[in-house]
Amino acid sequence: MRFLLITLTFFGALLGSAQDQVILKNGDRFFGSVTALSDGRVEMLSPHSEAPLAIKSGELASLNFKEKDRSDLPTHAHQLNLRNGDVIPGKVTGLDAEVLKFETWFAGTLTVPRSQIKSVFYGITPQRLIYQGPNELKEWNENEEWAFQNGTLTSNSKSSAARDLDLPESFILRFQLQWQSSPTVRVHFCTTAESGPDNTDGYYLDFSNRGIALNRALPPAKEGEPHRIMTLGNSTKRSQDFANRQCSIELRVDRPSQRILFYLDDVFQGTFHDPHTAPQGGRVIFESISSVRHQISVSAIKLRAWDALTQRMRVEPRLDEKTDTLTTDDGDRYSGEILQRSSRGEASVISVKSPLLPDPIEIPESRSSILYFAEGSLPESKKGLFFLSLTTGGRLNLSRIQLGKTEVEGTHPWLGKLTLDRRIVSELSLFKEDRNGTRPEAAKK
Amino acid sequence: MITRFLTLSCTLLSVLPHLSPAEILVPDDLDEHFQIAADREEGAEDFSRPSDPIGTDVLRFLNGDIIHGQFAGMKNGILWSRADAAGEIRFQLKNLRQVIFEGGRNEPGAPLLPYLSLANGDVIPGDIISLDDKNFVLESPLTGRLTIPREQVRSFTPNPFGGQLLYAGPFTSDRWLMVEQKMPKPSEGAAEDAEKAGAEDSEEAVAKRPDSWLYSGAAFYSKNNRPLALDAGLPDVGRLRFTLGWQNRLSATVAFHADYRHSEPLAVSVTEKKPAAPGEGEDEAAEEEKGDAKPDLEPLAYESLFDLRKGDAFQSVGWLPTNSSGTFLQTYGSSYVLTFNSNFVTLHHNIYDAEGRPVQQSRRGAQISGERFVESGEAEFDLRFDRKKKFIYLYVNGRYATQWNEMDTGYAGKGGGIGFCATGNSKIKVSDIIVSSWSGTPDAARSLEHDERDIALLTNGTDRFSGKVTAIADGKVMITGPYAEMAIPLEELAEVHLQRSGIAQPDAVLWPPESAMLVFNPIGRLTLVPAIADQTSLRGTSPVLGDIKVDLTSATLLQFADSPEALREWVTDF
Repeated sequence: MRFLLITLTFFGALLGSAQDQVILKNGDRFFGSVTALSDGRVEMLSPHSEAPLAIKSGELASLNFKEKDRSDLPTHAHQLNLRNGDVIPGKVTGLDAEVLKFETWFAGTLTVPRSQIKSVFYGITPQRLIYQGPNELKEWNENEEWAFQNGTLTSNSKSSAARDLDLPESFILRFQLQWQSSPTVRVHFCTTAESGPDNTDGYYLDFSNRGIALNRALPPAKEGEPHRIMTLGNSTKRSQDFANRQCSIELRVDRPSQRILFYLDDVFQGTFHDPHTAPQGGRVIFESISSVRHQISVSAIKLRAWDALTQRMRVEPRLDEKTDTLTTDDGDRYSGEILQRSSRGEASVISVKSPLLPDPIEIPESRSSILYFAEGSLPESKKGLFFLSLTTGGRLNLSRIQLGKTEVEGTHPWLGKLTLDRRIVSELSLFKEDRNGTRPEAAKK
Repeated sequence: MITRFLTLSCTLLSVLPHLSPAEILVPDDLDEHFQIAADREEGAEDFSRPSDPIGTDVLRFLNGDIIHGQFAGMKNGILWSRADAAGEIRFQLKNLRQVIFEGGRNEPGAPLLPYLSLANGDVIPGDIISLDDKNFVLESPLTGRLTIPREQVRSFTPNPFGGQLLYAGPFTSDRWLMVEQKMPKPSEGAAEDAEKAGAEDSEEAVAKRPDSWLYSGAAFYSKNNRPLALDAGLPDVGRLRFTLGWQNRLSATVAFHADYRHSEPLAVSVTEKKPAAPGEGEDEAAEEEKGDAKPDLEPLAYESLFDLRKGDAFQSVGWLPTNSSGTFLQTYGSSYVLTFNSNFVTLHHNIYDAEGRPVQQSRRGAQISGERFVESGEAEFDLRFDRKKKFIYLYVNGRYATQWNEMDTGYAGKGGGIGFCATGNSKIKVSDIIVSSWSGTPDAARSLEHDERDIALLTNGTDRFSGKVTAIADGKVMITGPYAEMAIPLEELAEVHLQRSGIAQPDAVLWPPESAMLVFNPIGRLTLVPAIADQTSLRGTSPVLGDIKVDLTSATLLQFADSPEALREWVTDF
């Protein structure tokens, strides 16, 4: 009896913050609190069921954990990119001819053979979560033009759901969009307007059966004239391209450089440049263009601050995979062999032997921007069943996952068994490869 | 003789307004002496250029007048000779716009010679001998040894064009094609009727078709919305650089990696059924009526634009579907096409699938940033591509603009051709085209400029060192970098850009108004005040280089005046 009470208390506590979301392969989705993931089963507490739900992990498409308050989580400024597409935040603590030592707060220090490393990025700044929702209807709409249920806003008519999110200068806005028969929605941002039709100075994403376009709304050139619309870019995707009539949308906006990076289902669609000074509004508006009830649903809205500088130089393709290359923060590149990391007093340096120079040169680690490592022999490719998205950015390919209260255990195809702090787990999704054998997420980089 | 020359000249000048300004304007009765825009004579097989008894150099005047002949030198003006004129004729410099040597077809200099780029835009090819804190020393085939103040040098390029220069120009319109609609084939009966009526045959009709492009002064000018094509031999990994000028609003297409092959219409691939003679084929017809017979499909047929070219002369080729401007595939074949609309660029992927069905897709577009891009009326475009790795970069005015990755779909461009076309109401000018290999460096030209540091790019396409270039000696460049003293062999360096703050401002040198500009094939530009010349060399003075003697062997142009206005008068619709 005592055990039952404790269990119910525990589950009750979990239900109080039931915001984990399970999405199955057939498109079914529901919220709850995941209590365990082991032995091929996901167990979760659901408000719809008195008993915990048990789902075969083989049916699982993805599992979104409730966003945690990351303010107390340690952060790292380096990022390790493995050749299998995994991305791990941490800190370089050692490098020699064979391995890189990489310290993480959530998995301890990893010792990674150089041949498994594609690159190391320096100067990564974690992205601060500003808003996660929707949490209730009144956040977005005061009347009943939209409905709220299970963390989802649903349109009831041709109307707008708007909120002043105090958008920062550079931010990442991400949400899940679902439609009943036709995606007829406009998502306005960086505007001061109260509703979609009033947006005369801002951006909006126009998503319909006709196509997907990112537009700039500009104030009238002259008083009395209508406001102007300028298309900044289009996606080649069509609404028919999305399974189950839903997709995730991510907009990375850097107002100082007047750039917007656009992703659909985590696949990069393009960088769009605004030739005008960026609008300064702080509001986000979801505008349903359809009067059909329940036509548009919006969920899993996340707004983060964005350090746009992290994009710097990382989009450049690498020409020579046969040699190591060190890129400095002022754009210089030294190819050859990256020998080692050494301490010089309180600082550290990276030694590079260039075939053009008689002696190795030492470059302060503080001036390093990217380390690229030469291709080498890789372990036999074994793909993990799941793809673990990390709370502080990054992802890991894992199998045999055991989800505990404070820890997650899993087996990495190359690094072996890992024990992770559960707070690092943001999302668990089924591993998928695209036609090129790379993961969609990898395309982001 | 003088009288005859004057008569000829007057004849020439009097007919100017009535001629199609395709390449070099000549009266009809001089066709046999000159290379004209398009030799379309039926049956003409020898398209080699005949030796011109009048002279292959061209003298252009500010008022649009043109005289052919032979550059004989300079002394108080240009000395000009013609086979039909006694003695040399002297023309005053003040009325001259340019001298074109050998019609732009002179012998090119060494294509891969290193070169220096000067602060005023001049480019001098030559071996880099030395550099100290004051001067560059260059051994140039154009001028001999030159000593150039360091502050006058913007950059030096020890190994240009990624190792291979495939095309530079247009110094002549040779090999370029104007892509036109096919002329409708007259039916047999109609042809007989036309013959009886003395009507022109289709070849003549083609010959009378107005030219859609004008070649003048190392540039092409569009006159309508027909494409201009060149089999440029684009490599798998390479660069296509060009300058595009436009009037009003930029609206144009640029094709690359185009094979200019299109499938003949599928209907053509089905064996045509000839009308049966009375009494013949009744059985077959009966069988067909029963629906048992199947059409006899022939293998899919393709035709190539470049197979239709006759000789190297600038010419029109009937290629586009009759009564249609053609799709990108019909026009350029398997290709990539960039469409420019104002400051928006889109990439189009065009290919035939295995069954010959057209597959045309648009890739995401991008805004071209930059102050006053749209209003500027001219921009330099730099396309860098790798057919094997399937990516394409676009840079505009030295800035990165956008990139496309074709890994998902495969690379569409199968050929080596390029093409330019004005669209809508736009008129465009195409010039300064360079096709070269590419070392693979993604650096935009402007990213290589720094106020306080010299920046060196290496030939391996990866390394990029910055610091201070302190000296060049014994074939090595000394660079003091933030982390090391480096001595880099010149053969390892692709290009070096010197710190902006050390480069003289353009107005720091006073260029006399009588300055002229010499342009060389394939690379080279020199500004100087010409003083005296003979047929092969010119002496002059430069405020930067001092007194110099210039070898004219590879010179294509001696420009006395910037000529857009004069040209606009000449080409009234540009």
